[in-house]
Amino acid sequence: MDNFSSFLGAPEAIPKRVMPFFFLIDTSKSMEGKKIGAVNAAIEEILPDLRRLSDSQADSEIRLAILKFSSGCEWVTPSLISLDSFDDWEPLVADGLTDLGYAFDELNRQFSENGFLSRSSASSGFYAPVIMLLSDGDPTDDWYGALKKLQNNKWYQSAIKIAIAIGEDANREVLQKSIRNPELLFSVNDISNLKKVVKFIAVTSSQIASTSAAVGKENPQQSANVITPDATEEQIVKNVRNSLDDFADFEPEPVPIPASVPLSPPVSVPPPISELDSTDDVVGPIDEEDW
Amino acid sequence: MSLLKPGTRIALEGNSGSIQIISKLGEGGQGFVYLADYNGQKLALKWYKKGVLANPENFRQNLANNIKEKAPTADFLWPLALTEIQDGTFGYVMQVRPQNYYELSDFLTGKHEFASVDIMLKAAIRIVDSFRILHNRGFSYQDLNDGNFFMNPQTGDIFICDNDNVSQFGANSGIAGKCRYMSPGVVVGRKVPDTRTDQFSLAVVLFLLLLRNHPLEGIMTQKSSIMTEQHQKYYYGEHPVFIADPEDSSNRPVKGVHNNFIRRWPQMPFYIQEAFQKAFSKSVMYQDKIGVTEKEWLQHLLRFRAEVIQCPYCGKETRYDTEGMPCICCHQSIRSYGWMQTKYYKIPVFENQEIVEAYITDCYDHNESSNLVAIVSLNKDKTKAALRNKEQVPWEIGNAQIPPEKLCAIPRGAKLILKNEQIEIV
Repeated sequence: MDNFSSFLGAPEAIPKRVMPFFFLIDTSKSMEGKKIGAVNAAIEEILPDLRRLSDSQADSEIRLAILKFSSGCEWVTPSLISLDSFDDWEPLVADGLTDLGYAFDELNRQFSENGFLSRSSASSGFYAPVIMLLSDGDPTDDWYGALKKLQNNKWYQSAIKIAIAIGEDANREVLQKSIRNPELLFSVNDISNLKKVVKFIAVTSSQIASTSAAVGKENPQQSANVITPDATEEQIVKNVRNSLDDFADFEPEPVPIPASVPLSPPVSVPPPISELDSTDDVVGPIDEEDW
Repeated sequence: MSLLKPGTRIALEGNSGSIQIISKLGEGGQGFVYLADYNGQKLALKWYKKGVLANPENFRQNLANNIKEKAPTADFLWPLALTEIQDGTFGYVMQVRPQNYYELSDFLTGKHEFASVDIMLKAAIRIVDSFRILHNRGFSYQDLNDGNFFMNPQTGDIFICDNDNVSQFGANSGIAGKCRYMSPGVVVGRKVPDTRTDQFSLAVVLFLLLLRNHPLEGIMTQKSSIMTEQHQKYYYGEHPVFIADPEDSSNRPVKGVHNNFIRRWPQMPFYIQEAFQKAFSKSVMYQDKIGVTEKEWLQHLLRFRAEVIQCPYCGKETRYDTEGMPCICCHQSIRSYGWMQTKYYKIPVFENQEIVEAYITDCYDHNESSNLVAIVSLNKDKTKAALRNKEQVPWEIGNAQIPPEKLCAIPRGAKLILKNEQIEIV
């Protein structure tokens, strides 16, 4: 903070709404090996990108929660956490069944005032959450029943939902049903691309969801009780789809850190004015030597 | 291909040669910005993501028109040349933004702060002036938000970027803008962006800059746990209420949240308060009536800037509009070295007070709000004030000449003619 000693005082940072980002990650046995390895690598690289994005925005703070599901489900993060406090984590290990229904039930529990989205945890409230589901297989439990329940949850209705189908065997129909905009289902068959794709989509969607709603045009009429983020999802589709074609080439450049600003010199305090209204002067030139 | 690798060559339109990509500088919703080399000169390339432009042909045509028209002032990082279409997309080149300039969001989040209120007001004046000149040329900006301009916290100088949405009056680039900055008429789809909606966005930017809270965010928005698309449409479009609306108290600030507003609003001069109340009035937000024009903002901000002085006792900045007024910070009563009465302003005379052309003349054609005419200088004992000529030409004062950088005494009662206008020291 530079020098700002004035009658306006030093300003506080502007209050930000929280944009919650939820990862739902399949850690069943079939994800073992390259798949889970790529997912781990993606998350590891997403963290600094999201942190930087969150820091740079005056509108919103991005917070993160990761839920893994295999035989049952478990939160990797203790709650919806600030990116600053998430600097170390245990890489995910793949084993067990694909209990997607458990994950939906757990999400339903946490998408509430008593759960991760409690008002007391975000003094300025939330933006609509982004949910990214990553899976490679067929659910082994009653995922559809759980999804039906979850779809009644207002927070879930308002959420931007994205799914990544990993590998050719992934059950695309299940993933399709779990999201709303079919264009937000992305298939990654070549595992070597997974990290880049997940990272790109996660960062782009966070950027869009946390900065602006594309209201003002083409916003379809909504029925009064259902909240949907159609325009925001549409914008994500536009931004992501066209860039994915040539993804194999993608290697982002690091952004240079701006140089710090030097502080201004200390303010000198002038002595009190003693002879203000001297009358011996007239308007006109002054010799600098005598001045 | 939307992403360009270092070394990639991109041809410029019309046999202007080509540029070579050096590195990526940033990324926005519409595309990427790269640093590029053009025959040894560094330029910035804005490169659109494929498919994000609603109507690429019109967009490109509009850009071509703007390139022909040239930049309104040197503060605009204006498109210089289009690239050829390559792999289904294209871009344009512009000057590279210099170092030490930061976005409004960097100030809002506390990463950078102005060296003083005076410098902050100088930046505000520069922003208003730039958009006024743009509008006077018959253009509208259409997507004015916190990411469109950069400010130097030490000098108050600015740069305006993202000039690709700039359109001539009546045209619409197809950009809807950023919700919290858009005029309510645009948010609900009642209006397409134009100069008048630019005016609203400009008022939001000025409010954020001066008060450091959003004008439409108070207890009403605070009560809403979630801000979905529909909520945004409601609070910023269908039912916006100004936090300091004189008649509607339904969206007042919340202690502990809108602290900057609570602290700063009472310190704003009444004419600034009234200007914001007009800019965010119901008639502007619900009926798209005219708000505060750039010229009005300039007059208010110039007056405010003239009244911000450094207290000779505590050294902090205070506001001074009455002789003998106490410092807001240390409460000591302060005396001025007189008041410069021009045709339009009454400026208290204090050390280092900058006298810009707009204080003296009223033409407002070419950055008069920033053109420095004189600076107040004190003698060694700090008992007398004089004006230092900051123009390139000598002043004719009576029968004497004051060359550039030389001093002219201004005792109380003095009358002098500068820029063909009379100034009286009272």
